[in-house]
Amino acid sequence: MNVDDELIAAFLEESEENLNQLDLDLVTLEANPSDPELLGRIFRTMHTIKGTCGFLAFSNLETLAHAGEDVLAALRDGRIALDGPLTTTLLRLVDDVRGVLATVAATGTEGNAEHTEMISELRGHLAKPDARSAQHQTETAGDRPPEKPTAPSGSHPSWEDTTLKVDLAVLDGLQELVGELTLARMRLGDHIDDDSPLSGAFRRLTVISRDLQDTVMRARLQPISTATDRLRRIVRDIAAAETKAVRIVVEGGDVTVDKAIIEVLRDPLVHLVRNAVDHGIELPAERIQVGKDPEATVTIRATLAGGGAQVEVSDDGRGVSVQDVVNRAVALGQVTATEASEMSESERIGLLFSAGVSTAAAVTTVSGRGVGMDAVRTAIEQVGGGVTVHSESGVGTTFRINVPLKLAILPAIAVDCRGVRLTVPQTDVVAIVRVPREDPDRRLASIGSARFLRYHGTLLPLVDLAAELELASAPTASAVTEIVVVSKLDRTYGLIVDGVGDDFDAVVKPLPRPLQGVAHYAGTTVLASGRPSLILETSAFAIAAARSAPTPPATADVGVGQEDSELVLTVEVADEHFALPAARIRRLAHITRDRVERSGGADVLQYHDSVLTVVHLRQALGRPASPGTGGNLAADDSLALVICRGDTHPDFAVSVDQIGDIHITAALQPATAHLAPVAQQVVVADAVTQVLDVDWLATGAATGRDA
Amino acid sequence: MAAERILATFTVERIWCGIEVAQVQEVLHGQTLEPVPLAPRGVVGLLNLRGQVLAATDLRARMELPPRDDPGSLMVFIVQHARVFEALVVDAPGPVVTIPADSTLLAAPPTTPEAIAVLLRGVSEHSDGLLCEVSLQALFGVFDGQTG
Repeated sequence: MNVDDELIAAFLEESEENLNQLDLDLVTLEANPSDPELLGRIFRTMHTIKGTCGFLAFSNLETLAHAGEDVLAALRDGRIALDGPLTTTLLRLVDDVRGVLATVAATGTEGNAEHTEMISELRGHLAKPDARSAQHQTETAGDRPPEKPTAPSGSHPSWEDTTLKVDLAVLDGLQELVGELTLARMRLGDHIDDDSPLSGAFRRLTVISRDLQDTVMRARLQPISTATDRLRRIVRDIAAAETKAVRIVVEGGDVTVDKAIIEVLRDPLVHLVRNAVDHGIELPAERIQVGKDPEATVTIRATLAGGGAQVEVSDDGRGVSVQDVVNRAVALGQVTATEASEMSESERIGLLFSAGVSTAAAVTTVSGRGVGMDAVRTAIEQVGGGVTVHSESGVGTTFRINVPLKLAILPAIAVDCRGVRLTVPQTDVVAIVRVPREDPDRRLASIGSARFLRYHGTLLPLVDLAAELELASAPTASAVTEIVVVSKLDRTYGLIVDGVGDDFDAVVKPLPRPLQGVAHYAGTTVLASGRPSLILETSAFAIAAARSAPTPPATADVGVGQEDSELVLTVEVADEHFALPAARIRRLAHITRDRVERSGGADVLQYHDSVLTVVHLRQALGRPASPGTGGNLAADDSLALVICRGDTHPDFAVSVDQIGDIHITAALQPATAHLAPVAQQVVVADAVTQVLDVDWLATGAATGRDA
Repeated sequence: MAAERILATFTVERIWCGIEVAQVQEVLHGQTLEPVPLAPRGVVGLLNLRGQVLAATDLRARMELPPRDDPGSLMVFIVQHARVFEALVVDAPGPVVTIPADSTLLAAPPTTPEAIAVLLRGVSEHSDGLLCEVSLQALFGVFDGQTG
């Protein structure tokens, strides 16, 4: 683009904005004819257009703008007064200027039109004698009223001062980049372990990228007035065309919603307002007859309600004839007469939103497209909103639009759990693993009731979604165990589900208030079928996963899936390392010393429904009592217990100094003689570890041998 | 009660209940709900109201009455409380009733079970019977101030 083209493009863009503002200001001025701020702004806008035209050598347009400027100067100075015809002329002037700009946009030149008619019309207004102007001249003694310092022309002053115009495409690009950043961060996270020196920096990166996402979403917020501003002119134009008297009131224009939602609201609002003036509002004579003010009012009211934004378009016209709506719906085959008779009043009037039913005699076109009430409803529902209509015959009609404040779209994966279809955010999912029932590669492992998945050399704790959600346990063992590997809050775990569905883009809706206290849900969405679905809060399940492993599982010493590998739990007693085969462990527990009681010459513990003998490993191994305690532990000191399966003997608990980690080691030789507490020695995590003979310990616990 | 009030009414296990008409957004028939695991007391499912997802509260459950026979097809009142829409499952709709300006709102009789009494603003005597006015604050206020 050469310099000229760039200049013209900038001129067109700025003028477009200025003309929109002129529209708004002129209509507002009609209601407040002597508002000096408005008058000043309107004059300056036309002055700017005139100046730029001269610079770009659009002489016809310059002349036209000059004529307009003269009239506006006269208005500003009070030499002429604003009346209906003058406003109409000025608005038509704005349209004419727009027409020329369109020509410039298309051809690069202003065309040949000389606008003589409009110019003489404008001059005609200047020539009008006016009593007011004489009075005004006396008051101001011929001086121009002082120019008050006001915000630059363009938009509402407060918004303009603190905002910046940004191309929507740039914002969209920014949003896409943030999405890419999230994915890249996830991939990076796969390679960063908790104890890596990079983990701190990575956590910071996660926090920052989430903040960035939030900020970008907020950048897209705009006040609803952006959608309601041009409605003023539309109301004025239609009312004038149909010789009706209508005024428009806008409340709450500063409610902010996402730009995408503003775009969705534009056309429906125009349609509803047109509808109100066209069909709802009666002619002044008719209104007087029924005792109404001849001037009708259309009210646009924006508020925050229902967890989102609500925009109401109300009129005080004749109301919707529900019978007409029903008749038309039946005639169009939308509903049978019987069905209609069984409907509630609100359902019947809701038929107004069915395709083709709008009682408009002619199809109303908005922006050149045929738009009916059904399109209005569909457009609004697509962004997760809704629209209803309420009407009272003879009193008026209110259309109520509800929309969310933000449009949040989340890439998601559907999962099934006992017939409930739930949604998992894709950004949290690392992989989907399917383990067949026979588990030939030995990918699943258990320690007591805790289950683990071998995944890339680590052991991931498994969380049973059905159990966490307190749903019924599986009726039959499934052919395949479906596991969704999730990474959240720097914890990776596997979520066992019944089935994994498609991935889809979920429009995120807020969690309804009654469910806001349930930690397992992050929000809701509506599936393609129309059924609502809960979005899982993956961090809640990460906490459940942490419960099943006392410490993060260590890396496997031996390759995954080898036949001769075994899981062990390491413990420490008297500074020596011991190991217990994981298969013999029921669970781990930390209790206070005072829960251990004395019975039959042995220490026992009441644990859930049974009484377990407590074997103090230190004593069983003949190691000296722990220094500094004199053998007596205080009542609230804690004991670390490993509760073991006795097999041929009852279950029992082993108290140790410290519980260590879960490791994979080479297969252990089965103990044969059970004569000693230690069966063999192995090396686990670079430490010499003595493997305990659980049966020897069990026998000792059962016979009450001094332990 | 200075002014006359208009109530939308419904029944739950033959208890005649009412809510101020101004708080009622609409009434849905034949509604089915999606199950909600880990639902708090009284919350019986999710519904999709023109794109907005609501969690439905069953008045029967909150009143600790026996469960309904047919949980399939439900009657739901959509009401507005504290600027948020809520869904309330009831048994059957009743007429719209005008409470005269001079009538007084009485306390629920002492024989009323506690679970029901806490949910009422009070009762009014009406020609068709005793009308229990339900308190939306008591029903939905319990969910306020929760953290996820």
